Amino acid sequence: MKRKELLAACMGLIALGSATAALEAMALQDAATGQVADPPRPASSLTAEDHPLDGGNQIDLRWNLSPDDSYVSAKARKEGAVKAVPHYVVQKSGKGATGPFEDVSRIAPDIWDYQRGSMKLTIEVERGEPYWFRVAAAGPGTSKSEFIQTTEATVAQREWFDGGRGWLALITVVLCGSVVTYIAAARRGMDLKVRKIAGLEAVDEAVGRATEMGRSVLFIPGIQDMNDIQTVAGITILARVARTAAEYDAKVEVPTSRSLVMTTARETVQAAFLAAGRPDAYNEDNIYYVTDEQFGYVAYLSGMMVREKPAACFYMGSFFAESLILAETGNSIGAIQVAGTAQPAQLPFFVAACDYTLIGEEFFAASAYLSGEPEQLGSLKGQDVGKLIVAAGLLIGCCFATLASIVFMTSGNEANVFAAWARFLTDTILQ
Amino acid sequence: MYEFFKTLDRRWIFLLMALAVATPILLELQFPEEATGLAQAVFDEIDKLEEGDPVLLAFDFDPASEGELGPMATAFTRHCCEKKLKMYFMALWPVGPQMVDDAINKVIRADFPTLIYGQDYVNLGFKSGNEGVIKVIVTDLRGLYTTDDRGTNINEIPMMKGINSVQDFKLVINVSAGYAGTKEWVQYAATPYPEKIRLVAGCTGVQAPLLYPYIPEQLPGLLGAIKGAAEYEKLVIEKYGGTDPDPKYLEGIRRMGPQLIAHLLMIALIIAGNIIFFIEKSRERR
Amino acid sequence: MKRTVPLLITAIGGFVLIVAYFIPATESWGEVAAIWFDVLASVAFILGGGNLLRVHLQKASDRKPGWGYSVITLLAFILMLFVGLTKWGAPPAVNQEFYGETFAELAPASLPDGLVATVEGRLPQRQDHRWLPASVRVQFSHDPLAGTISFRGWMRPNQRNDLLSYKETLEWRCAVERLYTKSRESSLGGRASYYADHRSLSFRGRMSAEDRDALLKISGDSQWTATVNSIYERSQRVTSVDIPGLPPTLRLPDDLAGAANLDSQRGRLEITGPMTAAQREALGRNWQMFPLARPLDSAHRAALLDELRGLGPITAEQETAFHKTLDGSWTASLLRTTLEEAGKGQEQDKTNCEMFAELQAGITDIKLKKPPGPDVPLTEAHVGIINRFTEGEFEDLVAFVAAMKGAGDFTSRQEDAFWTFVEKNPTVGERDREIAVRLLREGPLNAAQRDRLLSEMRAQVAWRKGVGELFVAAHDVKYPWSGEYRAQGTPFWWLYEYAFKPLTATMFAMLAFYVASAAFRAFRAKNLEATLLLGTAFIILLGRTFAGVWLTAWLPDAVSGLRIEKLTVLIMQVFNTAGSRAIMIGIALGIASTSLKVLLGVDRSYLGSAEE
Repeated sequence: MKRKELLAACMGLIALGSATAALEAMALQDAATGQVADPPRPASSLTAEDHPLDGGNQIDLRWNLSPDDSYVSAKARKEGAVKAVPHYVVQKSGKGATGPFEDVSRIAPDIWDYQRGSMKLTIEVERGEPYWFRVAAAGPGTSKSEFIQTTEATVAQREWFDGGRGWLALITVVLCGSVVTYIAAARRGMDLKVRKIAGLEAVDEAVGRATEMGRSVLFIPGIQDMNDIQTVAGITILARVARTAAEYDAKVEVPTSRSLVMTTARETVQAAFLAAGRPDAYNEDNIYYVTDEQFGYVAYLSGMMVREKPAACFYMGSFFAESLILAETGNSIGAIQVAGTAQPAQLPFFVAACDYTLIGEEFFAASAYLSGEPEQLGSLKGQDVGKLIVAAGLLIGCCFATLASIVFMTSGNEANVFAAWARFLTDTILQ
Repeated sequence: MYEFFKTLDRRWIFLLMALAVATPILLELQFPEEATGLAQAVFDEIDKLEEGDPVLLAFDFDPASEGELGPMATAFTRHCCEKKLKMYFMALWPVGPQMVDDAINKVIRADFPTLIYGQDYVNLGFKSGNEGVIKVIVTDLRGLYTTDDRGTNINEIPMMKGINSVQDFKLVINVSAGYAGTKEWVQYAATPYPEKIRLVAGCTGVQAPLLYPYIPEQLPGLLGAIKGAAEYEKLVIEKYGGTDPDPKYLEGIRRMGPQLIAHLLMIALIIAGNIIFFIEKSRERR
Repeated sequence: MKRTVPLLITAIGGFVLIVAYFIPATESWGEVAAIWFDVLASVAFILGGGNLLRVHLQKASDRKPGWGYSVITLLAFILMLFVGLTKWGAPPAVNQEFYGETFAELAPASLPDGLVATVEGRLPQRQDHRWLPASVRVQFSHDPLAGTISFRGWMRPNQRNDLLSYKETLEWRCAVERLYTKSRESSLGGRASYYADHRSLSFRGRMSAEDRDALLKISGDSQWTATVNSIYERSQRVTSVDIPGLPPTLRLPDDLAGAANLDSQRGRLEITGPMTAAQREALGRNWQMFPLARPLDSAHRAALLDELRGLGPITAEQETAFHKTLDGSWTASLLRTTLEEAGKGQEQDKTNCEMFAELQAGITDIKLKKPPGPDVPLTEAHVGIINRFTEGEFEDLVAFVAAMKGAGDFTSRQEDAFWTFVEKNPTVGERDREIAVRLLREGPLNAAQRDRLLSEMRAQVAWRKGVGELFVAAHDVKYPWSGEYRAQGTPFWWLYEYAFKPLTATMFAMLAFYVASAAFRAFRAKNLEATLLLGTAFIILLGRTFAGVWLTAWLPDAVSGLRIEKLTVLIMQVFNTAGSRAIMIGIALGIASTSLKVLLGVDRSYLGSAEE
C-alpha cells in the first residue's frame, strides 16, 4: 500500500514538472528553420553594474538578446540548423566613452538565458577605475550588428564581504556551529557514546607485547609536515602510545621525515612520560630526524626495521607510495602493526598488510576516543550533523537531477523546473 | 609441496616478479592497445584546440615516478607540438623542472627544432607552496611568476603577452604523482572557474581511483598510469605518428608488456594463496 | 605559558586565514600569514640539518653498529651541501648577466641632471591607492604645480610598459609615450642603459671613443666621468678563440669586419669588447661564409650524383632517396608567395598619442588600429629576379635585396620576410648533411663520400661552436654566483642524475615486489565480501592489460558491456567512485572538525597531553 502511494506521489511530481515544462517550452521552440538575418539586429537594454558583494574587481553586464537570436537545441544543430546569432561580442574601454574599445569576451547564451530573454556576464576589471562597455550580436561569418553601449562609466567597488562565498560561509557556520554546540552540550553533561574502534583498543596490546618481548616500539608519524592535519592526528596518538610505553617501561622510537615534526614529537613524548610519572625514562635521542626525501626515509626505516626488529609498529599520519613498503617490511619481521591515515589511496595497502587500520574518520576520532573527554566526544557528534547535511544534500541533488532528466525525456524540455533547482544547488550553493 | 607453499619465503615471490618484469623487457614483447573513453576524452580535449592556443603543462612528478608518468609527459608534449600549441611548462614539485627539461630535450629540441623558446614554449619552473601556488596563479600568474626558469623577466617573453592568470589558458594539462597534483588542480583551479579552466590529467595508478569522482565535470579526461599512457600514445601515433614512430613515443606501449605478465603473475599468486587457504581450512575441519 | 603561546598562535593564525577568505579587504592578511609560515618553515632546514649531523656524529663517535653508514651519510650530506651552496661549476644565469653589456656602478642620485627628461603631464590618481610600479619609483618624479612629469636616466621598454599600465586614460599614456621618447634621445640608439635596481650604468657592445665623448658631454661631474671612462676601458678588452678545422679561404662578411677579426690561416677569431646577442646571431648564422642552398635542377643533381659515384658506389635506393631529399627543397614560387604575403597591407597599432589626438578632435568611435595600407604586389621584374636567384645567381644576398629594390617597390617588411626565409632554409652544409643522413638510411657510404657530404657542415658546426665560446669568453661576468645550482653538467647535477634519481626510482620500483607478496598473503576469500573483492581484483588486473581485451573479444556486440575492459571502466567509474566519495566526505568532515578543535584549543593532545 505504502509503496503504491509513494509511486503515485512520484508520478504526480513528474506530471507537475512536465506541465510546467511544457509551458516553458513554448518559449523555447526550436527556431532552426527561420531565416538567418545578415547582420542580425542588435541586442538591447545594456546595463553595467558593480558586482554586488565582491572584492571590487568585477562588473556585471546585462542585456536583452537580439530579436533575431533564438534557441537552437543541440540536436537541431547536429542536424544542420544554423544559429542566427552564434555569439555576442563584448568590448570594454578604460579610456573613455569614445573608446578605443577592446574585446573582452565572446559569449553565447545558454538555454536559461533564452528562457529569460536576456543574459548576464561578469567581467574582471581593476578596482576603482571607470569602465565603459558595448555589446554587439555576431552574425554568420564576420558580420555583426551595431554595438549598443553604456553611456555612464561604471566603477567596481569593494564590499566588506565576498558574496560569492556566502553559501560556503553559511555551511561553515552550520558545521562548525554544530561541533561547538555539541561540545558545549557535552560539557553540561550530555551523555555521548562512541562505538568501539578496534585499532585504538589495540594500542595497549601492541605496546604490552613489545614490553614482554623486550623489543622497542616504532612510531612513524607520516611524511608530511606539521601543517598537515593528519600529522597532528598522528602525534595525538603518539601521546597515548608514549604514555602506555612509559607505564610499561618500553622504548619508543620515532624517526621523523620533517624536523618540525621531530620537535613536536619530542614535546609530546616528554609530556607523556611526565604524565605517566616517569620523566627520568624519557630519552630525547629516540626521536630524531632522518630526511625529508620520501624514499630516503623509507630506505632508512626498512633497514632499521630489519636490523632492530621492533615488536610493534605504528604508522599514523599522511602516507604515500611508501605505505606498502613499510607495512610489508613490518609484516616480514612479525611485528604487530597498527596504521591510521586519511590518504584513501593508501588505505587498501595498510588494510592488507597491517593488523589494525584506522580508516579516515576513525583516525581523526582517535583523539576523542583515547582521551574519553566529553567535550572531545561532543565534536564527534557535531561531525555527525555534518554527515546528515551532506547526505540530505546528496539525496536532494540526486532526486532533482533524476527528475530533470525524466522530464526532459518525456517533454523534451531541457530547462525544466527540476533542472533549475539542480542548477541552483550545484552552481549557487556549492559554487 | 603444501608445506613449502604454506611457509613460502617471500623471496621466491620477489624472484618470480623480477622474472615476470624482466622477460618481456628483454624479449621486447608488445601488445596492441585499445583506447578507452577517458584516454579518448583527453586526446579530444587537446586535439580540438586551435593552432597557437596557449596550454599550461604542469608536471608535478619526480624521478621516482618517472617510470610511470614519463611516457605520458612525452606524449602530451608531442601532441601539443604537433598541434602547434603554445606550451607553458610549470612544476609544483622541486624536481619537476628536471622533468620539464627532460620533455623539452626529448621531444621539442630533438624533433621540433623549429620551435623557439619564449615564442612557442616556455618553462616557468618550480614554485614552492603546493596548492597555495595554484590558488594564487588562477587569478594572478604574474604575482608569483616574475621570471621563467632561466630567470628571464616574464614581461620580456613574447608568448607571455596576454597571459595573466591560469584562466587565460585554453587547457591545463597536469601530470601528477601525488600531492600537490591533480586533486589540488581540480579543487583550486577547475572547480572555482568551471567555465574558464579546462583540465585534463595523467596520474599514477594509485591516485586514479581517487580522481574518478571528479570526472567528467571538473576533469574531462584522465590517463591512469602506464595503461592510460599507452592508450593515449596509440591515439597520438595513429593521427600524427607516421609509419615508423620513434621508440620514445612508444614507451607506454612498451611498458605495458611487463605490466601484463606481472598482472598475470599476481592473479596466479592470489589463486595459489587461496588454494592454500582452502586446503588449510579443510584440514582444520578434519 | 609554554602551552598557551602556541595555542594562541594557532588560533590567531587560523582565524586570520578564515576571515581573509570571506572578507575581501583582508585578503592580504592571508598572504602575510603564508609568508610567515614560509619563514618559520625555513627554520626547519637548519633544525633538520643540525639534528642529522648530531645523530650521525654521535653514532660514529660511539662506534655503534653500522657507524660506517653514518660516516657515509655525513660525507654525502656535506658534499651535497657544499656543491649545492657554492654552485660549483654552475655558469652564471643568462638573464642576470645581460650578455653583451658592460656595467659600472653609479648611484641613482649621481645620474647627471642633463639626463632628466621632462614633458607636460600629470600623475593620475588611482582610487585603490596603488603605488607607482617598483621599477620606476627611483627614477620617476612629477611636479603637480607645473603640470610636468620627469624621468631621470633613459627609460627602458619594460619601465614604459609598467608606467602605461598604471592608468588606462589616453592622456596619461600619451604623456608616458612622449616621456619615453624624450628620455631616450641621448641613449646612443638604446645602447646606453641605467639599471636603478642594480645601481649600475651599462653600455651594450663596444664603446667607441665617439660614444664615450657623447656620454661625457652630458655632464662634467667627476663621478659620471669616472663611471663612463671605466666602462670605456673595460669594453676595449680583446678576446680571442681558436677554431680548428676552418677552411683557410673563409673571411668575415663586410658588415661584421669592424666588430670582429678573423685570422683564417691560424683559425683564430677575436673581438674587441663584449659580443652582443645580435652580433652572435649574425656571426653564427653567417650566410656569406655558409651560403644558402638553392634548389638544384636536374643537371646540377646529376653532377653531384656523379661526383658521389666517383667516390664510391651508390645503390638505386640511395639514388631515389637522394632525389627525394632534394625534392623537399624550397622553390621559386615559395619565395614569391612569401614575399607577396609580406607585401600585403597590414593593420598597424596606433600610438596612444595618436588616439589621444583623435579624442581631442572629438572623434566618437576611436579604433585601436590604423586601416591597412595598400598592397605592394611584386612586379614582373621582381619575379624575374627571384627566378634568377633560385637558379643560383646573386651569391651576395645583399645584392639580391638591392636588385629587388631597384626593380620596384620593395618594403622593409618584405626585406625582413626575405631574411627570415634565408634563416629558415638550410645552408649548403645542412643540405648535404641531410642528403648524407638519408643515404645512410638506405645503405652504406664510404669514408670519402661521407667526407664530401659532411665536411662543409663540420666546418659550420665548428664555427658556430667557436662563436658561442667567444660570446661567453668576451662577456664580463657580473654575478658569478647567479647560476642555477642544478645546471646541467655541474657536480650537483651529476649527483642528482646518477645517484639520486636511480636510487629513488629503485625504492619506488620495490613496490611491485611488495604488492605481489602482499597479494599472495592477504588476498583470501574468507567470506562473501572478500570473495567479491577478489573477483573485482581479477577483473581490474586483467582489464588494465591486453589480456582482458584478448580474453573476452569473442563476446558479441550486443553484450559488449560484459567485455573485461568495459567492466573495468564500469567498476572504476561507478562502484569505486561511490565508495571513494563516501570515504572522502567522511575524511573532509573529520579534517574540518579536527581543525576546529585545534583552533579552539579543545584538542591539545598534540602538544603533549590533554592535561595542562
